[in-house]
Amino acid sequence: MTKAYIDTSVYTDALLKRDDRGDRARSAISTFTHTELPVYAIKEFKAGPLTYYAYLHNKFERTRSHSKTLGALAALAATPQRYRLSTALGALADISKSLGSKTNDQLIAKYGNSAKQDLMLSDEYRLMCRALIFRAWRRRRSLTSHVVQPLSCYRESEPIERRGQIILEDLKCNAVPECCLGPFLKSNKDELQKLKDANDSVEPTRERLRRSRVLKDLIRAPNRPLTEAACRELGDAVFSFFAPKDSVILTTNLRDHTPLARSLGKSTQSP
Amino acid sequence: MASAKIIPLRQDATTESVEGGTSRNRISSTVGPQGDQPTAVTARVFSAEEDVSGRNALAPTTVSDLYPEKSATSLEMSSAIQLLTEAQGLADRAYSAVQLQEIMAADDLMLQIHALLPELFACRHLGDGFGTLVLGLHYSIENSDGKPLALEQIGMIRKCVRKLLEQPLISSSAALELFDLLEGAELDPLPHALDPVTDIVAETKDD
Repeated sequence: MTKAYIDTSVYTDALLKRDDRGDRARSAISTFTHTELPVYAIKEFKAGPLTYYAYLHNKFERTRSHSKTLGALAALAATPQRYRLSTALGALADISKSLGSKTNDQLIAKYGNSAKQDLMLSDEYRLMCRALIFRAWRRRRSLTSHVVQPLSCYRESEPIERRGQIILEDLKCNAVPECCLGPFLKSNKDELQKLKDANDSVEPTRERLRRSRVLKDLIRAPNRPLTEAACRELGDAVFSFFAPKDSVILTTNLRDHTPLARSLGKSTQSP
Repeated sequence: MASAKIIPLRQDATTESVEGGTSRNRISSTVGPQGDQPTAVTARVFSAEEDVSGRNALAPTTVSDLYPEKSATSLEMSSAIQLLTEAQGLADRAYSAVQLQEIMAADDLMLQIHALLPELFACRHLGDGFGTLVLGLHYSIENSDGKPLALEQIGMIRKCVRKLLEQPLISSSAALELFDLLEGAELDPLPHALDPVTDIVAETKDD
């Protein structure tokens, strides 16, 4: 196939990731002559991954300390996945490639606090988070050949800076009286049922259970407005529903996307 | 009577007067009580190419015109100009060297530029745009993993250094546009360390 429909996971990797995942995503997108990005992916991207980078930026800005930020992250991420956490924090603690690690006593004598390593590192990562956020936002509509399915209830407002903090506003739609996708979804009950059956056929997770409930409501109570929260909970089902028949859904999350896409005769591919 | 205000003009610019020949601008004007009507002016006639300061309007503005050493507002600014001037000289020489296939000489000069960057970053209070572009230069060289840079890559770094020298108070968005050019030359101006951290933040928030 020459047409790809990009989901949020690949979109995020292509825009933000600097490691192999980013390279793979950008390379995969470039192999298609026609690529479509639904605005729904931009919305998910802003409300999800971009907020994590903004959080990190704001943490560095607030603590003005690399070591304190590392401590704060360790406390925040008190997850059972201790190994992954230590790997992640190890990456941030490894300052061998950083510019801040190259400071010395002479620079501190000349420039004072500005040249101290902890502040240099903190400012370095703060500025890099900032660069990634604004660069990704600037490129958000130029990654693919087409941006499709505009959302009339969604305002694509730019990240702003206020008192040194990066603020992401309009993370949610103004879905009044209902989400603009509601009428499109409700117009094809057969496909909604197929999506629900496929969703229910795999191991239930919290995300899948929420999606199933929304699909059920759309099928059984079409007069009920599709709320902003319900639209968000549909998640991957939106991509399967709206992807063109002659396209492949490009995603890193085959486990969730493939059963949904297959139920509608559509295909998926990982970068 | 209100005190008259003396406005000294630059004494270092050399310009051509209409009478011909070269003359130094040693001009002062005495401004009247209202500050608008000069009561006495000791001046020569300016040529069409000169502005009111006597500077030749057709001549390009140099960094030292904008930030003369004596009036530099901060240690950071004067240090940055000095370091960037040095970096520009090194970049020019590196560019010439690589054109002459003197790869080792060019690489050595780029290492010298790299060594200037920590001190330049210590001047980051000049602005986020300045700090961002200095970091972009650092990671462009750092992420090349020690491999000598190609002509186009050195040319792009030279362009960024020149931009910083011309415009130390560069905006963040202008700095990010230069990142695009660095990436266009297959340089990588961003660090990789943030990816795993944001992954963990994502998982924590999703829980």
